[in-house]
Amino acid sequence: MSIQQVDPERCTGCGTCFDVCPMDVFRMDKEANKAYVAYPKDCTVCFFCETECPADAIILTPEAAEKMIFPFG
Amino acid sequence: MHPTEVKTHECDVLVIGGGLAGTWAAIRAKEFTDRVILVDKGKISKTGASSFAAGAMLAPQSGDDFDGWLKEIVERGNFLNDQEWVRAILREQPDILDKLQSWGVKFEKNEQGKLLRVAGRAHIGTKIIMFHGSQFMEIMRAQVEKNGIALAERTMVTDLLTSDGCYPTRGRIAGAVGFNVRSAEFQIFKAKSVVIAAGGVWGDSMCVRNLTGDGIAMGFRAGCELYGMEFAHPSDGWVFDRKYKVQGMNMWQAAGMRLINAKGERFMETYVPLLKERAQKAELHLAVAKEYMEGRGPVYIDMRHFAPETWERFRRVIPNFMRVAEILKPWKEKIQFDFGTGAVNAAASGLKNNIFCETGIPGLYAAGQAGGHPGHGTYSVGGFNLASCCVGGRRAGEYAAKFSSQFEKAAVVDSQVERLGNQIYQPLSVKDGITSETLNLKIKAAAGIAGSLFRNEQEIHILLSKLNEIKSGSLHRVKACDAHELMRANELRNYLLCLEMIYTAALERKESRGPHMRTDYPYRDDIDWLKQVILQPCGEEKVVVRLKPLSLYRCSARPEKLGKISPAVPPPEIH
Repeated sequence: MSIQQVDPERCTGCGTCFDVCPMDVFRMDKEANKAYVAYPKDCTVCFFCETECPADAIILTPEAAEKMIFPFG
Repeated sequence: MHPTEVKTHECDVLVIGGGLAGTWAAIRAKEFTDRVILVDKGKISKTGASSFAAGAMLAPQSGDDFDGWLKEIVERGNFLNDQEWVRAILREQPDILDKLQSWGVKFEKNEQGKLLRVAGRAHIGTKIIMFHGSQFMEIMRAQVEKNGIALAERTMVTDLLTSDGCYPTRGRIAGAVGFNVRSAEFQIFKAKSVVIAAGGVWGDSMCVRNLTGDGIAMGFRAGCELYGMEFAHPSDGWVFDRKYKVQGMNMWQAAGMRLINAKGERFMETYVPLLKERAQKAELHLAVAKEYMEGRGPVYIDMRHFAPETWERFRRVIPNFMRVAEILKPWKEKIQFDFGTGAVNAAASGLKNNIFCETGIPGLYAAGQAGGHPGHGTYSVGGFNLASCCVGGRRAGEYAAKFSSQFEKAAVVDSQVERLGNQIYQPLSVKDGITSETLNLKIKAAAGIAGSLFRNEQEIHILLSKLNEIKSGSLHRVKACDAHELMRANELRNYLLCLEMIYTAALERKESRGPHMRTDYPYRDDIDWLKQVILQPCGEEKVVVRLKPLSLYRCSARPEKLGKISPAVPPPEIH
């Protein structure tokens, strides 16, 4: 879960998500002039990309990406 | 394997880490010297724990009863607080709050337009104020830029340079090395003084997964002592509905959250009758775990009674939490409540430093969580961390800058640069290795219950031997195919070292104090353990442990009598 993808239909290639991500999960496809999710497992669902994307192109769900362990029961 | 590109930077003061402590350090250093570089592995304003801080900051104001504040903070910190630091924070924080307001940081105000102060986590006489979401660090960044401080972002510093080229050094600081986490370009920083403000050891526990104790590990390798590592405990990785990681506990506590077990009992009333759900973080962790372990789970958090204006405040102060709240609707339903596990040093633990933020290496300073918040004790009241970041960061910047104006720079030893460079890039040359993600999962699997809360000698030994096995058997096999993976590999190396230090210290402290809960010594022992556990590096990442007794003579707040005290939340009885 967490970050799913950048909607290529909406992405304008402005690079905002690439700029703001604390975990650096995005990369820019220079040929297509679009952002894409290169390291989805590192997403921490901080919402910075979603909040700041001017084209509303970020598709994410707020569930944590990693498997959580609950050792107490 | 070295990349061909090398970039060399020269400065008077190098600040490593661009969170709240680091930005304060850089801004302050720039008042005294021209050449200041602020380096961070992310983007400053969106990096580190500060960018996700849940609104609460300790807010002493002139006219407050500072003796009373000190007493409360020291009692909550289980008397291990450096009281000189507490006084410095009480004295200097009011001025810092004025500055922050003049820079435009938005805080919740009362009807008279003054700062609204409330009681949140573990406060009775002490108070916090509430700032609005992520704009705080945006404003810190704007101040850094306005002051003309040079930035080196997306750059991970891995190790320090020393004047004698040795670890642990007998010389002084000469700079640091690292690499760009996108291009892998090698970075050499030649600096007269260095401030480490690179955060604590958080692992996977919170929304920030890259706080791997880089600053603490690099300082330790270079020769700094560590203190209080045993007080690492699971931190703000609160989990709702076993799916969503959320932050904002201080705000929920201030608003009157309730915790309820499967029997419908408000169990915090039993453990901490005075504060109930406004108890200290460690007490909440221990109590919630105990309820689950003794078969009274699941535990729920109840916010259904919060007033509409409370939810409006949350929208301003903790907007990320509200994004999840919109899905779970806690105004309608109670929500299953857990916390993420794994050790987090959010308490007084980190690089040992004094009231001038000096570590044991001349020219090397520590601030923020990397410097362990010496005034915090075992973790005192809510909002202390951020106040300590402001005051500690500002002090570190000032003294590092003054050091740099008094001394010529130390020459960099080329062989040390080469050795550290080879170490950074080693994962790029691993062929049939494991991924950093695989290693991370191995570390998580090793931790278990002893890794988070209830510890005893046998379990700590097992945990340490597992960590050792991972370190000797798996660490050198971590592969990286690009600069990003190289960052993850270097982070895990630091994380492993910090975990080893956390449990080495946990083994040593034979009592229970604050978040450090030993089931084989289930009491606070003020007769034998008003002491710090100090870890001293002695080369090859080996460690010597020593105990440093507290100087009670210098403490104005002391335990009323010295004895053995049962903890508020006793260890679970497992049948």
